[in-house]
Amino acid sequence: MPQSSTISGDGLLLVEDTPSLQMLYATVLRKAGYKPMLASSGAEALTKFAEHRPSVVLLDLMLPDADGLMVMREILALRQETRVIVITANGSVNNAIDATREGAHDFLVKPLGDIRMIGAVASAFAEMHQEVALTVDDISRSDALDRAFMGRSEAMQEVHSRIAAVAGSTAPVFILGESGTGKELCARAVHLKSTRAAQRFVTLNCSAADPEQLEIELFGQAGPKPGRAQSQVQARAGAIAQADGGTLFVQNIQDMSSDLQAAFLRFKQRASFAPVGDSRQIKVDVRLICTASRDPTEDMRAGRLREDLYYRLFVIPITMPPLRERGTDVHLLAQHYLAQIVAEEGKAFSRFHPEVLDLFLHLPWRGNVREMINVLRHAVVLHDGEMVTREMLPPGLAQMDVPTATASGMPEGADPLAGMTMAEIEERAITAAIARHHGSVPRAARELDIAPSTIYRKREQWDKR
Amino acid sequence: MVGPEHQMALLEQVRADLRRCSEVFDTSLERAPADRELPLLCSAAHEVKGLAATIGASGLVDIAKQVERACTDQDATALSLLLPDIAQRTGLTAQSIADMVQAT
Repeated sequence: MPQSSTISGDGLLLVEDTPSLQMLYATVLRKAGYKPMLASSGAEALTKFAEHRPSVVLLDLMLPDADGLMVMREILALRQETRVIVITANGSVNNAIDATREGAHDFLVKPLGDIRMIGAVASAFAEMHQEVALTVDDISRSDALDRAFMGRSEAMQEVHSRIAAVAGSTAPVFILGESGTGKELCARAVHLKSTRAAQRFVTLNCSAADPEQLEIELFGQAGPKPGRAQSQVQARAGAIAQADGGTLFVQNIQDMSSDLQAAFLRFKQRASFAPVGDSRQIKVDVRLICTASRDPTEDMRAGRLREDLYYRLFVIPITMPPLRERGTDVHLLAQHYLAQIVAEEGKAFSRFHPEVLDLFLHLPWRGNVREMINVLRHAVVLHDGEMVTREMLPPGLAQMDVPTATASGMPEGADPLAGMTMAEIEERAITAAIARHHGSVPRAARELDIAPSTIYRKREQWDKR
Repeated sequence: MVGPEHQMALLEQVRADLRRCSEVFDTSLERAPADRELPLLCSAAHEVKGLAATIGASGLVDIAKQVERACTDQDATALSLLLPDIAQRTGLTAQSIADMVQAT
């Protein structure tokens, strides 16, 4: 049996102005074991949010006194790591897509299905600060992990071979990568392939709590001492104690306060820790996997990450590639998530129009896999059919101009490159790529799969002519 | 979505919400097109759209969508044509729910 518990299951705020819908959603949430706080307006939502700082917010985008998007922006400004799930009426899904671009975790379309709503809330809490244990016997979870962590691209093959190489070691692993690239899946894969797979995999997000709370979540808290007056403090196991024998996955390590980083370093050096309110050291055997969404060396130079801690943790780096660099993995992932969303939404889609597949290969996917899931959900929720066509994609993508190619590899119609020299073709391709990326040489270089320095060198040569 | 212990209270609340929106439509109907409060109408239509979708009243969803769009486009002609219909359908749906609650 997989072991599972929640390190911190902080509040849920439901913002819905229509009383009957608020009553309905609250009833469904309570039935699922949540205790939602309720707000009927944007002002009330912001007051309650500021007071209670809930981890997850279910937010109707159309409120009587405020634009839901504005409310979401204020919430995220107050606490960036909050998971906001926006609710929208059918016909206003473009607003929801805008919201996900601005940081919403997910969106739900009215009428809300209870399974979908609870699923979205559970996923938000899980991502916020979850502890999920996976065991080698837990076949269904392992399969799900394998499917989600799929990829045949060279970049992913490199990740897989790195995981296989480090799994047998106890050395700390540091996973780097943009948001949405699957850093947590990578950490789980390392755990599952290690000899610790039957033990716990505990996740702690350092961005998800204030420093005091984070210290307790990490080290735990001692209960009342015998012989002393009865205290209100309850004993609580921290993430380190829970991960004893298994793996502790620490997200956004650079967001730990400097004092806590010092305490964490001591734990790393001694392999022991003392819960808050206790001086006794407890020995543990924990494998550490850390992540940072920013370059940790920059945080180190800026003084946000202790140098000694960095060198203790940055032993084996694994870099998760962004989706735009994973070639046809995009198609594998799209097919996988299409099947998943279709099952959730009760639709019949089973394939993509070739034009959509071609477009997916060329998109920059700045939000990586998470963005792809939102795009697919948009298409599935709003349309019916068996094949996802370009017209079903969000407007910004549906209208995006992607060059089509014939079997010969040349653009359709008259060949615009006829009569040009290789140097001229090269200059034209590079100039066009820079223009497509609004003057950004690094992005153009990434698209062309060459080094930015190559582009700068070429430009110098052209300038000299 | 909810158990029988909550159904009556929920239906009663849906009825009250629809009745409130219906009153907004009725008040607008009594006014000259230039005096109608479009943001209020738009908000009521949006609310009806969500409520109707939740209780499966697809006809009401469709007309609520049209009213919402007419408000957004400030299309007074379309609103004049749609308002009597949405007012009547919203009122009827509220009454049907009231009858159902009473009969149970």
